[in-house]
Amino acid sequence: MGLKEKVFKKSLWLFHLSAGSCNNCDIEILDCLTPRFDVERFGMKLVGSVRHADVILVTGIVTKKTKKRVLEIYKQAPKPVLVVAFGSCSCTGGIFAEGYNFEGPLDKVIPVDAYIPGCPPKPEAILAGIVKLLNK
Amino acid sequence: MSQSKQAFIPIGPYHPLLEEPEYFKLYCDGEIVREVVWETGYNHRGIEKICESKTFEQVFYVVERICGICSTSHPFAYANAVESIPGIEVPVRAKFIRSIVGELERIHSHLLWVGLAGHFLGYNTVFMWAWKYREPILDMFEIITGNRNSYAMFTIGGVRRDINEAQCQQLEKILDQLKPKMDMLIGAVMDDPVIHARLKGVGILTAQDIKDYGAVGPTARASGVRIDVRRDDPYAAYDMIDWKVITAEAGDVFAKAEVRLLEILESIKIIRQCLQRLRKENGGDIRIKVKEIPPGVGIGHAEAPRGEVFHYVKSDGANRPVRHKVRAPSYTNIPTFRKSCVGQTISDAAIALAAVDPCYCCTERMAQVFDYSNGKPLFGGKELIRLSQKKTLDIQGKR
Amino acid sequence: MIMNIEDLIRIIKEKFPKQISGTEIINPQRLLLGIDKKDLFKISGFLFHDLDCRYIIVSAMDAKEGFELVYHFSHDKSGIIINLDVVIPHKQPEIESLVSLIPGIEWIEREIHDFLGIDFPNHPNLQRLFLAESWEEGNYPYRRKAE
Repeated sequence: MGLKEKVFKKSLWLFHLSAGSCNNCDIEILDCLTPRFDVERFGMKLVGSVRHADVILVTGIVTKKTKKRVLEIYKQAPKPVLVVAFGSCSCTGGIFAEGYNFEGPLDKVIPVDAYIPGCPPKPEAILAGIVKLLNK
Repeated sequence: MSQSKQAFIPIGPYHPLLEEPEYFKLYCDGEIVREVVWETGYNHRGIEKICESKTFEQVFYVVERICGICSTSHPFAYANAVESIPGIEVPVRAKFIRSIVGELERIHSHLLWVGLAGHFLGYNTVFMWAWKYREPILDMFEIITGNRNSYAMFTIGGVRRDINEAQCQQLEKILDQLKPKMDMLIGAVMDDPVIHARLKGVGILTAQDIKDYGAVGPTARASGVRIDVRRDDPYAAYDMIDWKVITAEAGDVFAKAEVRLLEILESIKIIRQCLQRLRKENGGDIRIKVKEIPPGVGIGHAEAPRGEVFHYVKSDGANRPVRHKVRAPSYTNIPTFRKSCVGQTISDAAIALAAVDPCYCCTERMAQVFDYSNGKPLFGGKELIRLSQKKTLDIQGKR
Repeated sequence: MIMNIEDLIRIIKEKFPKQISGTEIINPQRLLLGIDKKDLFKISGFLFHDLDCRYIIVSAMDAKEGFELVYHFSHDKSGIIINLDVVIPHKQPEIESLVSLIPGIEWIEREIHDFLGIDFPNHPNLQRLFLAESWEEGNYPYRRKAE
């Protein structure tokens, strides 16, 4: 069994990082925790510090001001770590790609393991994305 | 005491307390907060500049993404601004539909705040409850607009989708089920001794503070300042229906919670009346065609869940705005932390910061998630239970 | 009690007969007053204190004739929005800060300083608000590029 399978087999702990988002994706992530979708039954939960996390969920575009912080947080995360680009903005830049404060979509800044597109992705899409990631 | 002798506590930019990147520096003397410094700009995406490169029609979908929670309020204020340049009167049916969407957003946003406030207090039961009852609202949005957030309902001269008779019935049914749950939730939150103990007398804002900082919305109304754009400068259908402005006098966090909770009931009342009118006047236009926007200045505002959203649009007769200025309610609400946080203890500062419901960020639709291989919707409730049981068994079996 | 826009104009003009250079009624709920920058503090003070208007925001843009700043105030009793339009020349981009009058105006003045490079003398803390630390000095995103 490889390191990755061993590490990611049981409960995934998620760290939510909002780079420069419109809040929609962030709210939908929280929505996943609440009674209707309840991802905690899969052992997934949001953690307060990236040092405890297995997965980093990044929402929104990377702005000029957050780029430094995103890199810093990626450095702090214990490896191996999975990075998920969450929502259209972090996948491609979306509607904000032409703005002057745009530093690039997430994969130009840190390596990305999975993309969940949508504006915002529905909670079902989030679950589908995470399940695909686990079976990768 | 000089600043250097005080203890310094950073909140942010990435902090479990905050949804969005934001940086508050608390300078404390013992446990008492003496000064708060606010650093922002992490979320700055340059939307106003982007808007100036889009056509009037396209701007709707950009302003919708200023903030995911207020994704009706910004188009609402923008529509009021742009339609005021040529002086368009939108059809009555469109007015009612606009009001329904606006009020649904108010309910979902207030529930969201109540939940998060509970979360900040370490009272996760409230969080789970409020967000559970928020789901039916998102279902209603899905019925009306086809998406849970970012609704793309508004356009110049009206709305893009009609609400038909069958949908009215569906919506009314959901409202009927929702009302008793809301009564229960509101009663439970307002009578809870823990919430009373944590929120009463915390983060007080006086009417003078509200005026000094230009605070709006529930933040102002909780301090006894009776301002509400829906009443002061009526737009959409608000002057055609019966509703009242909710205010409280105390100005503390509890009063803000009270105002928001009671506004939920008021919003349910408004939606019911709008739906009745829609059913009575079945049929009619939902939009009028607008050929061009003449040169001029358009100023529009609308009452978002957090307060007044203000849009200033300047047109030179071309098909895109020359200048587009957006003022979200949080822009004037957040700076009140200077009055509400200073002098509080550190543990109360968190809820005092959250009390104004800060929102830092401020196209094709219909998304249902299908498995492409067989075309069936993914993950119903039963499917989720089956999966979670399978996972448990897997873990046990291989241990 | 003030009821309509004509009454408002009359009251303001009685107080400032010479200072108001242009009056434009955009529609019955929106009033635009053109003023000079040296009268801004006095007129804003009158609107804010005597007429009990609520400060909304300041919009700024780079126009042909100079930087145009529009100070928006809301007269909540009647729902009328009063806009003070000030134009300052490109060569000398500075205008008096209103922080001592309206504390909440501090942040928007910092924002305009960021985006357009307009100076606000007497501002207590005119630092960068939105742009990143690495953003180069003298590059103002909302200024028109020289043609």
